[in-house]
Amino acid sequence: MAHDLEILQQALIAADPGEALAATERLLAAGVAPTTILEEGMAAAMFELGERWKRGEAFLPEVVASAEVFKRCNELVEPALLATRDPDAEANALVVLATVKGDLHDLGKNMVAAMLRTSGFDVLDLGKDVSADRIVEVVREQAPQIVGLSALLTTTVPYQETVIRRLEDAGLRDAVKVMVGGAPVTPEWAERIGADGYANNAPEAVEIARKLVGAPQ
Amino acid sequence: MFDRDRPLRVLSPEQEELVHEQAMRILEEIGTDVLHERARALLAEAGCRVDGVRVRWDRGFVMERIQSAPSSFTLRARNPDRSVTVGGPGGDTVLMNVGGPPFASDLDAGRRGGTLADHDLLVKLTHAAPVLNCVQTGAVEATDLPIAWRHLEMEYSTVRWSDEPYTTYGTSGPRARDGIRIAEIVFGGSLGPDPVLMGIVNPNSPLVWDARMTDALLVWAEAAQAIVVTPFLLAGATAPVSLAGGLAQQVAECLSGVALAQLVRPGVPCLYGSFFTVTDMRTGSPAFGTPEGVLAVLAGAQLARRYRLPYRGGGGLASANAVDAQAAAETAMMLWATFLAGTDVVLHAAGWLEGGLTASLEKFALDVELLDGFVRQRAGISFSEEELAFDAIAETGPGGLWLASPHTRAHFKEWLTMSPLFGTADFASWEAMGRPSAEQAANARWKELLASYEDPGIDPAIDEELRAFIEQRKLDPPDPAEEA
Repeated sequence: MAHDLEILQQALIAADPGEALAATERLLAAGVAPTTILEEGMAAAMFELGERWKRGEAFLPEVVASAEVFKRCNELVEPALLATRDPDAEANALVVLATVKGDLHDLGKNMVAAMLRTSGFDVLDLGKDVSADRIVEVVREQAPQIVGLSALLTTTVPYQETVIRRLEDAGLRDAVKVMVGGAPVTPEWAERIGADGYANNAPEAVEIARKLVGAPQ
Repeated sequence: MFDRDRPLRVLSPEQEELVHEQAMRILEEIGTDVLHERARALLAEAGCRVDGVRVRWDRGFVMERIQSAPSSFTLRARNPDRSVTVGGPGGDTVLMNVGGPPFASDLDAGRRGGTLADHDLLVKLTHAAPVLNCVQTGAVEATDLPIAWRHLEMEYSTVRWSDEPYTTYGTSGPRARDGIRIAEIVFGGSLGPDPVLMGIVNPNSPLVWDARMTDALLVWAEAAQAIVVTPFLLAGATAPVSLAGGLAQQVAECLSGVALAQLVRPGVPCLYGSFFTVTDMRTGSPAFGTPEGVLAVLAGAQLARRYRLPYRGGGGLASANAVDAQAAAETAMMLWATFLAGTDVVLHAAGWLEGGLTASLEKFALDVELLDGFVRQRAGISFSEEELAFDAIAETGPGGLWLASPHTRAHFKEWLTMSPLFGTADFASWEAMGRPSAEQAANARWKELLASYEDPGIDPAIDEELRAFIEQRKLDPPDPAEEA
């Protein structure tokens, strides 16, 4: 088992879907607890990759590719996890991400999505050019813990405030934490519009998200 | 873009002809002073008109003589794998460290008089930097040693700590001879047929061949070593304030030097050298990276091609006193010109600061970074099927994320340049790192480079012979005051 966990970690870091999926299947067939596979195999690998990225030893396309493999392994582990889960236990925190209306620049938001997924968050990515109405609707239906709003243009950054006001109008503001980001966004802006969190970059967004849901960092 | 046979042309054919015609008139009607007696005698014997120290060079003589200079040659290194081809379509771009500064500087130890230890360090950095393929002796003056014999220790520093080809120190005939003797020991006896070192000759512009440099030129020519004939032209000080007139003077000085070398030894490799910038009339200092300096590098290359001689020019030259925005801008201007000119031999490509008065280690690291970029640019755009990427474009599709594409992951390390020096951290992260400057990053970079240095070693018997020669020569060194 320990051997297959090691293989799974290495395959995830190498973004090798064949090896990773095979190792995951072997672990499940051997009756290893899905939480062990998730935490000691998959999450540990993604943590290691994140550390390498911070040290400049791993690069974005590699992180994104590993996140993709992570997602596919997760699809195998999840049914087993649900079957064994204590109904009272907490599910993964859900983050809804959107690049706000009028803005088509979603690269940063996509990077945040990938990093959040590999850090154990469930991510619902609404895409780009997303209206406040749509965000309010999703928050009402999906009850995410966090909404992340991205904007790259100085002309679309104000729409982050629009979304927050609409959440307030809908009576949903207190039910969800709001994070904002994007190259021209500053901590001062985030504070002014009443956002709960602001991050400079994708790894920092993960840290802020963890803080917002009260997860260990 | 960087085609060495077709440098970016800044002179029209008519202008090129005007420069040539005027250079010939300078040589025939004005002539040059030649302060070396034996050289004058040789020139008189060859039919030049000699009047006192003034020599008037017949254009037929000059143009015929320079024909015997090869348009390309091999410069042998003591490690044969590191030998380079100088000139010609298949030639290497020979890139060297700075040479000549009396001072050295780095962020840790500050600015100080250069020492032999600094010289050793610069030789090792040059050897370690893959983009540099030749060592310039005199990387920094070893001012901690007596003038009379410091050239011996600097020459030893070059041949001991690197096995790349090199330029010799030789600022006079006797010093040039010492350099030849050292090369003979390193290369195991007699030299040739291909040269093993390059010597730099500067006429004393305007239009003077002084005794010392002419003596060195004769020594190298007789020993069949490569000679880089480089007038040191400062518009408004050692040359006319106009580029057109300065270029004509450059041609006259270069070609007379090459003709003399060919007279002594037909076929000895010679380079057309250009070190041509302007005088800043506010200070009297040479100003580098100026528009005129850039044009001069390009025009010089065009003229060198006209005379079918390999071209020495350009370099990472800057006037700035600090590794700052001025240094970066001046250096970038000069290096663009250097590469667009298709320059064959580039002295002072890395480490030059303060108009050449200081060898800066941080500047060295920054220059190496720029040179790496230019070498990459010179490779141009590649069009393999994988690079045209139709299949990958189809796979990623409209609206797809290229970051997630296997094509990206497979190739980004090879196809995209990620500078170890120039970061792209966002402002807040950069601030959290303590706002590191490029100079601080460069400080770390040269230390990494030094850590990667591998001693090429030297045959103990050769080393012993070198040390014996140097120690014996130190007892009776050339008298600096009395050198020819």
